[in-house]
Amino acid sequence: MSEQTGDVDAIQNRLAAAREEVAKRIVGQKDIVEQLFVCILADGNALLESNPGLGKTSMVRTIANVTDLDFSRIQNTPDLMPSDITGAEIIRESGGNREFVFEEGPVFANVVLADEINRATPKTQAALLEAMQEKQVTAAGETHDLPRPFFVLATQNPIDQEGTYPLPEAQTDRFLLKLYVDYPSFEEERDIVTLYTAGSPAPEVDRVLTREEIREAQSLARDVPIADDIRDKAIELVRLTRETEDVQFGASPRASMGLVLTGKARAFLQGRNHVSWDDIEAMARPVLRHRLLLDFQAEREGRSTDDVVGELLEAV
Amino acid sequence: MAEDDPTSRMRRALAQVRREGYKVAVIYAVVDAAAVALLANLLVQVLPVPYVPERVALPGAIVPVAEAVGITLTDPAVTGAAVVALLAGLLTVTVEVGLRARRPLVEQFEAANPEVREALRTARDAVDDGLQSTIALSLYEDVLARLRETSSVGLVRRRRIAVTLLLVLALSMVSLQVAVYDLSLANLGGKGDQPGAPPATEYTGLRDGDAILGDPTDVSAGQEELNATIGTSGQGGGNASDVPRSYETGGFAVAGDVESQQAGFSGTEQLEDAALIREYNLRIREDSDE
Repeated sequence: MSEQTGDVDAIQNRLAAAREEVAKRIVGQKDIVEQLFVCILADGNALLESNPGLGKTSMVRTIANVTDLDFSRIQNTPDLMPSDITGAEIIRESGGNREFVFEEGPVFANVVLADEINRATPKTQAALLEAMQEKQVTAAGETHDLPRPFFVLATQNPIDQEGTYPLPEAQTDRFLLKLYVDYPSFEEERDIVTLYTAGSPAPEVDRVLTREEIREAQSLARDVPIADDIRDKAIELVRLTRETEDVQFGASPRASMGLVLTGKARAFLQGRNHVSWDDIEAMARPVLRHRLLLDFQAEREGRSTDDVVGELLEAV
Repeated sequence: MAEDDPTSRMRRALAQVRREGYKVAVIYAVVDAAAVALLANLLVQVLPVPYVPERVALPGAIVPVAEAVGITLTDPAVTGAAVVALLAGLLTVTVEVGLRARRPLVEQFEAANPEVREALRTARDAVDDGLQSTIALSLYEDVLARLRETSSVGLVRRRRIAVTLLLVLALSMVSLQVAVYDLSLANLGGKGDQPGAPPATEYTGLRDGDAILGDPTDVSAGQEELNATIGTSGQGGGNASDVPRSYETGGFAVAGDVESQQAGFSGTEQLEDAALIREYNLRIREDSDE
């Protein structure tokens, strides 16, 4: 085995160890945790939709803890200003001199949890999404780069929609994945109660992954080879979303890129060095569900975007 | 690029996989060609095939070549059926190899070895794209290791080969039977013609012997005079050779061990039947005189 191959195996082993550490604190939700790691490796951002109390904050915070990534949390409210997220210039006096100094906002972290993004005003949402897309912030004519790796996990509450500002489709398209967090099973909930109602408040996790290793893993994940026919099938799947009768507006080429990238990241995360069609199938729904707009007929029949994606997977 | 780097080894492995595919195609083609050739030979021998000559002369250059290897060709020619069979076999080989090679050979190998299918396909595309990244090299190493555990035997459908070989055997047996009994359906439906039956004749009774033999002529005496003694089965004694008697008056009385060759006699124990045969011969002569 060559030295280079050994480096790949070492990184993959560290990623596996990181997932095991997260599992110490987060009971169940294995698919969600895997998809979050995929999102990080693909250098993307995720939109998480779940009811309150399902451990979204704990999950993201734990992922930050098993690495040496900086973590920050933004609680979005209707009165939140863009500068509250990106930062602002303040006057600082030192040695009798006053100068404007840019004070970085909470977005200047490696892992940013933006809770209830649909409660922020469109202007504030735009500021966050711009930072998310450009990986930089411009204030007072100066551009400030955000730290790398940079990962935003935005959450939405499917209930309490009154007084909210739903993200427009053009904005949701910027998120690589949309994840649904469902309620745990009885056994999982029993384990959660047992874990968090006795002894120490939260189990300790070890730091097993550095930011440099994450950057290297992101680079290796992008290089994972994909067979031509699998790549073409993934593209065909996205194109079918524009042609199927149930969909009013289909996914863009950004979805094609996202599907291939997440397929590569998942393959790398699972210790493989090539993309399997199973990877594309597993990532199809998280990549496409927030990029499709169903027509009235499909909505009236109670069908979801996941149902449509499932049918297209069988047709491709 | 060094010859032993993973990319070069991957290219060589893919070339080897393609060669295995060609070998399998040739195996199928040869077995099928044998069956087709035997069938063609059989059909040409049994059925009336127009424009196929009985025998085809071999080129003159073949005779010295055959003699050089110790084969003497008295009649340097082969049957038309053999030529047709050879051409049919060659055509079968050519067409079948061409058809089987049309489908990408690496894909055939992947289908026969599903455990390595996706990885091999990805490696093949990566090699074609010239990928040299760390993860691509890792893929090549992995595929090469797994290829050592795979086999191209799965490309050969053994049941099909076995059935074809059985068919070849059956056709060989039938061909042998046809050759031994000279069976042919070429004259099937002619008057009185049946395969293997003697030629039909028209019998109109005994023919005039004089007409056949012609006028009697004097013959010269023989070169030798031989004295023969013919024994009898107990009728009289003495030396029969001293008393010439005609066949009409008493027939031949012979002693024990003279082997007569008249009328199909085969042994002295049947000599008593000579009287019966004499009687029949006389009757035949009376009929012919009348």
